[in-house]
Amino acid sequence: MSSTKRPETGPTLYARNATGLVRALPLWDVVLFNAASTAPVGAALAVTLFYIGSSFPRANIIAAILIALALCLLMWVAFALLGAAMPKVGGDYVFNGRILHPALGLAGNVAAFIAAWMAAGFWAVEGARAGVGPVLTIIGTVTGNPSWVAWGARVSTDGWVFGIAAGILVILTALSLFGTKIVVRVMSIMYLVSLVGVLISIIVMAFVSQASFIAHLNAFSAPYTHQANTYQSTIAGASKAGLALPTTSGFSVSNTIGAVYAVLGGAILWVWWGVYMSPETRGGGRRSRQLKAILGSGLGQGLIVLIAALVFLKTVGYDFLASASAGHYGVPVPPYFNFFTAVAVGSKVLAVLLSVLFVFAFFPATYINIAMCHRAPFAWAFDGIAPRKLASIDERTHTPAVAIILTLVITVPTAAWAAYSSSFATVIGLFTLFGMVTILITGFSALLMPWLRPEFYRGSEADWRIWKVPVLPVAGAGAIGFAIFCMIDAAVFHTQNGVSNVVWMVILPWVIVIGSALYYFGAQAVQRRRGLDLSLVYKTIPPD
Amino acid sequence: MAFRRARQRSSTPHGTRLFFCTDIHGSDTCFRKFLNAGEFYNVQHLILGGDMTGKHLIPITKTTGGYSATFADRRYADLDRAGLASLRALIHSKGAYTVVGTPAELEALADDTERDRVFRKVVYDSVAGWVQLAEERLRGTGRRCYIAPGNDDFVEIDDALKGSSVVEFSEGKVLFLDDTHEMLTCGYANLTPWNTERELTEDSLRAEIDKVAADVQDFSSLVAVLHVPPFASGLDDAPELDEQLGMRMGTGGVHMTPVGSTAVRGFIEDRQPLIALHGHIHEGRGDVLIGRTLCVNPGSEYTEGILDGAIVELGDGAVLRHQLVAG
Repeated sequence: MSSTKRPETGPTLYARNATGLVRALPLWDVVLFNAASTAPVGAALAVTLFYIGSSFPRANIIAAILIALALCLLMWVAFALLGAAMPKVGGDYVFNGRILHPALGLAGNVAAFIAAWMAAGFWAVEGARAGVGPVLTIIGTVTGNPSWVAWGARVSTDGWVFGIAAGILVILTALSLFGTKIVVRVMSIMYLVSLVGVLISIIVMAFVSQASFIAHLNAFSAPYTHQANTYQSTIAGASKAGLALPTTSGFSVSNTIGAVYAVLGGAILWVWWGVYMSPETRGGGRRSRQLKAILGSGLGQGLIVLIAALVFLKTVGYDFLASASAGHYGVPVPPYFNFFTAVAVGSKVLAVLLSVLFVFAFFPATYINIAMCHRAPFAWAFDGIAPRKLASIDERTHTPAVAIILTLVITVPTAAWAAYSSSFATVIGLFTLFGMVTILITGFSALLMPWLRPEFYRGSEADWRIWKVPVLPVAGAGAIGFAIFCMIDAAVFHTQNGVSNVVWMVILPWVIVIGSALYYFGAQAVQRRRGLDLSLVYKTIPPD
Repeated sequence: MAFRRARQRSSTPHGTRLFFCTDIHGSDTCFRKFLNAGEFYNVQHLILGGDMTGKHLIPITKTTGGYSATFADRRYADLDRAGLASLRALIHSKGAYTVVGTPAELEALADDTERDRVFRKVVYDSVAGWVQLAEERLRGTGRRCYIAPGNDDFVEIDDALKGSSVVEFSEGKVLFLDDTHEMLTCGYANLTPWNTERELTEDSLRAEIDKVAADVQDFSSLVAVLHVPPFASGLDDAPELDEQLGMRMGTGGVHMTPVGSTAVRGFIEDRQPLIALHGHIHEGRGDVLIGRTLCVNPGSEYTEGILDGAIVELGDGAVLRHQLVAG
């Protein structure tokens, strides 16, 4: 005999005892889970902030971050609403496939998969090149131990970088095979640990004056640079080499706009990947949850990056930051925020601590891309588009073991490419662009869902109006505008983005779209001969 | 969805085709899609595997200004009769029920007994309406429609399902789908934290299944419709709950745990039916082989109005093909 009870929501709804009626998760848990699923702040800061200073001279970094955040808002809303309406592990693959066409769903997902595939190799290599090597160098330098410095130099060679990157990929693969719960738990802890390092740096640098920083830096650097004022000599060296600096030349509007793309790709763009986690996070099927989770983690990440940028620009100074990043700093330590923080307070303990905490950031940054590589082929195989074996689940750990192993097999060569070849910079310049294909297709899904799939839209979590204006189509238009802006931005500033041939930037994403669509129709033809109609997978049954 | 050839004992190109879905939980849209699935997927048999009734009741207040209610975080105020009909259709499409009354009439729902009575009545009326709709749509088509309750369904609805010339009440029975394939149905589940309508201890559940299975002639060609999936099969992972029925979540995300039935698993391992069709765990969509038995859980997306299901083609005592779809 079941009974009914008054729910917490009051007299607007009554619930009876039935399977699956559970309390929602605390919002903070979901926000943290989403944030941990994106590029950790430490890695994003290191790669983005310092990269912008040297590659986009005189860019107004603060303005670029604010513009990037503003541009992301509607795009994030589009993903959140579609993710709430269809909280499926396939994310964009499912809702784009259902709303537009399965071939377009596959095309967008393949683009995201390639972006993740390349990014996995990139972050693993950065873990060695910007993480492990510099940590050894920093520790050796601040403690006066030449052996550590030598090891730092040694592990920064291509062979060691590849070996460490491959090791990171193997460790993450092994953890993934043990089960999603274990690997996500470890990555979340690493994310939080690295975040602690970033927050310590921000707090420390907020209370250190620029004069104090310069004095400490000069004192620390003198044995290496043999200069009394390394700070000024670094800036002077950069100026002499032709690096334009804002103090003398003012900010550049065009380079500020160019830097927006770098901020987006390196720091805050990818929080929408939380939609792939919708089924796990629960409440993923609720609009308010998805909005708060994606916007909360995105704006949270953006806010930390913004505050960090403000603090570092105040204490370190833009000119020195850009000059040091451009390679004119004579100390054998990368000019990252963790090192500057330690120098600012003259603390060896802090230098070692922050350096070690910094390394933790690269593991979750690599993992989230690996996880995407696990999940996408799994979803394709489940639908019969890819070999069924990819969707097989290990009975003991409930993990897609074949997809996980295959991901290792394809990401290790990517890491080798990134470690040994300068041409990989071109690939990295392109991988963010591939993500724009996914966003563009998703934007069209959001824009057109009310008309193409009214049966799904009406009354769904995506059917949200503010002052009677439907939000989803507006967010979809915003996402389309966002993707077009980024594509144009990437093409105009293609040299700074590592791509020498702009034609590739324009053509390649569409090669992916057309190639994926052809693959889909080919797979459909093959399966039809076996008696399977792939078009039925997401084809809507008319209710009336 | 891969069209796997689970066992190719026959090269029959077109065998007996069936469509199985489950856990539509009161969604009017999903039920209407279910009735149309026969023609849409070109199948002879439609099987609804339990938990067909909804969980929520939405009170709609009638005042001099019109009809007002709150649904899905949205307030609907002062609707006219056309607006009321539209709102009720929307609520029913999402799997919830409605009760319309004056503020004084709705105040009576604060009483547990009265609320339970109203809930059972609207659920019964809804199921009776569905049976009538099925008769209108399926009569004369040659397609057979089997419906069985699940653990969440009030026992009263059995009466609404029985006695139809189109809908076959399959609970606790062994029926022939064709000359070769029998179908056994058991909608009971193992114990849940919600103390739902049709729950049994594992021992009792196994006894119940065995009692029904006593009429089976050939297990090797049996289609076993068992609402709850087998324990630790990957088709039964659900959030682990605390004492207040809240999900446990740590840094690894929501803690998932297998909640399927050991009795069902034991039956499948011992008897090795041809195919076992399950539901109960909405997020457990997938398929897995336990010995020679293909176990399928099509999952459920009823709140989105999407009918998750499985198309299965049987031939000469073998599963020729199967495909998970979301219609």
